[in-house]
Amino acid sequence: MDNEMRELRDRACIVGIGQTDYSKASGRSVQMLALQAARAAIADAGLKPGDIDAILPYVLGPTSDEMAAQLGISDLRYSSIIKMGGATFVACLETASLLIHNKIARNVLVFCARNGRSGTRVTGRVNTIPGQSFRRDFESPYGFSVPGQWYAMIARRHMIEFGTTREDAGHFALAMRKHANLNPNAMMRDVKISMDDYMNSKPVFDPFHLLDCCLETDGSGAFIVAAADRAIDMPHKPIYISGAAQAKPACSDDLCNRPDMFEIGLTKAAPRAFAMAGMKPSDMDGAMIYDCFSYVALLELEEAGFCPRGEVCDFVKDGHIELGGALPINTHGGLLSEAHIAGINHVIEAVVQLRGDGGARQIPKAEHIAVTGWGDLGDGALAVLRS
Amino acid sequence: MAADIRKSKPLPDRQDIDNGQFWRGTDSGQLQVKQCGPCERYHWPPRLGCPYCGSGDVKWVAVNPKGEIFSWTVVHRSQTPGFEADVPYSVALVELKDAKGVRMVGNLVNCGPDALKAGLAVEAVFTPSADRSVNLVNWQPVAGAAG
Repeated sequence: MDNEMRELRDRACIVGIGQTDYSKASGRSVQMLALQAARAAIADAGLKPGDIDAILPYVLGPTSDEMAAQLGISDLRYSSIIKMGGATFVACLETASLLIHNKIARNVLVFCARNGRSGTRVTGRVNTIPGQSFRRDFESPYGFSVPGQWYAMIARRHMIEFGTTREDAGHFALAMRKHANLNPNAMMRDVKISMDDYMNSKPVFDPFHLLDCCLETDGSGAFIVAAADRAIDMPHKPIYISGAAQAKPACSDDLCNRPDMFEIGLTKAAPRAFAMAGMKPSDMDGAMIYDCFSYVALLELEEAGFCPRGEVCDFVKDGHIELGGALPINTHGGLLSEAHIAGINHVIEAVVQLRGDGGARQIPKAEHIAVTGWGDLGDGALAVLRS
Repeated sequence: MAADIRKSKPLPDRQDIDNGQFWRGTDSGQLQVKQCGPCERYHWPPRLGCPYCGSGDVKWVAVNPKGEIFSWTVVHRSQTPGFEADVPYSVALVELKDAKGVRMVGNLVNCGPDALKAGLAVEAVFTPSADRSVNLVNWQPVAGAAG
């Protein structure tokens, strides 16, 4: 089956990207934010709003109906919600490729908009997590009710089994901040941190401390996917979706009881996406790794195959994951230091890099970039994008 | 009054048609999990079908309420209503000793954060909720195991 997926390789391209400013208080509705990012992405692709014929919205926020009505789309041929939390937007690259390749749609709009800081914060979003009766009856009564607490269980177990330390995660957090300092749209563009700041930051859900945790953001991002044979006539260099796959971990309705706690959706999605692209992790010039928490990104690096399980501590040391290193990661600053737009900003940054528009944070000769997503109780997705 | 209601800790729904049997067990100090008839594997949380073989023949069974700490988090910033005054508090993931493959979430009691370690032997403590409507399951070190 993985071989059959090769039929989809390079059939579709990301042809437009758009984003708003990222802030703690947008002063706008999520509808307005979504429309601003969507219009920017549509214009970037050289299209008109009425050219959009498929919309893949996020599980929370404006719906495809509301977007179509406000964009003057009179014939929306397809819409569906890919419900994978923060893995949604990478999984959408697979779905969009299917829609394009099968001629179900011509121009697919994917977007995310949230007032994640001034409006619905994380405690208001957990009601979309699977297994609600398990959460209610067997977790919440013990004060265990948000993603950071679930993921802390995996992080602690990783420390127990492999000797991972807070300082290892600190290398990741510091790299994100260094990159954000080069990104004018990053929320943390002007705020520098040191390893001392990291080690001394307040505990939240130990082993997670404040500087292990993603930002909470108001803002929106969007991108457009179209067929490769049309993309070559569009304003920007087409960015090919060479490989894309999504997967669920075993028992995706509960994080705590998997026989192998480290086997996540990405463990299965990554080899499928790389096989579809005909590439391997070491072929990548950079990677955008979903970093809701520093330790989650470390786990993803192992499970996506960038390094063997248990060896991520060495992988993230010595500037290896920073600009100038062997595998620059999250050159925009990631969810930890650019913004938390549920990872659609990771897809957008990959496009910026592959177009060569990264400015001070450009990866030299960036031709292949992997993007990962992580969501809910361990859902995962990976895409290989190429210029 | 409204403020008081907001501050109360969330409680399980002991009337839940699928999960309620668990709380009828804790009323009398019994810990129950689900076990599959055909493949005999235990599983948790309690589903209506076996996650390992897919059989719908799964039953509640009482198990030895002892286990060891598999992982844990110490919550310093509460995100759950009613837990604000409890911080820092420990949430443990306990792997049951005799029901292989089952891990339960509960609070650590009679155990400071410094005593937490992987493999620490613990036993269930049936703790009445604040309104005494249900016995929650917390965990404490087995005598002689701490330190």
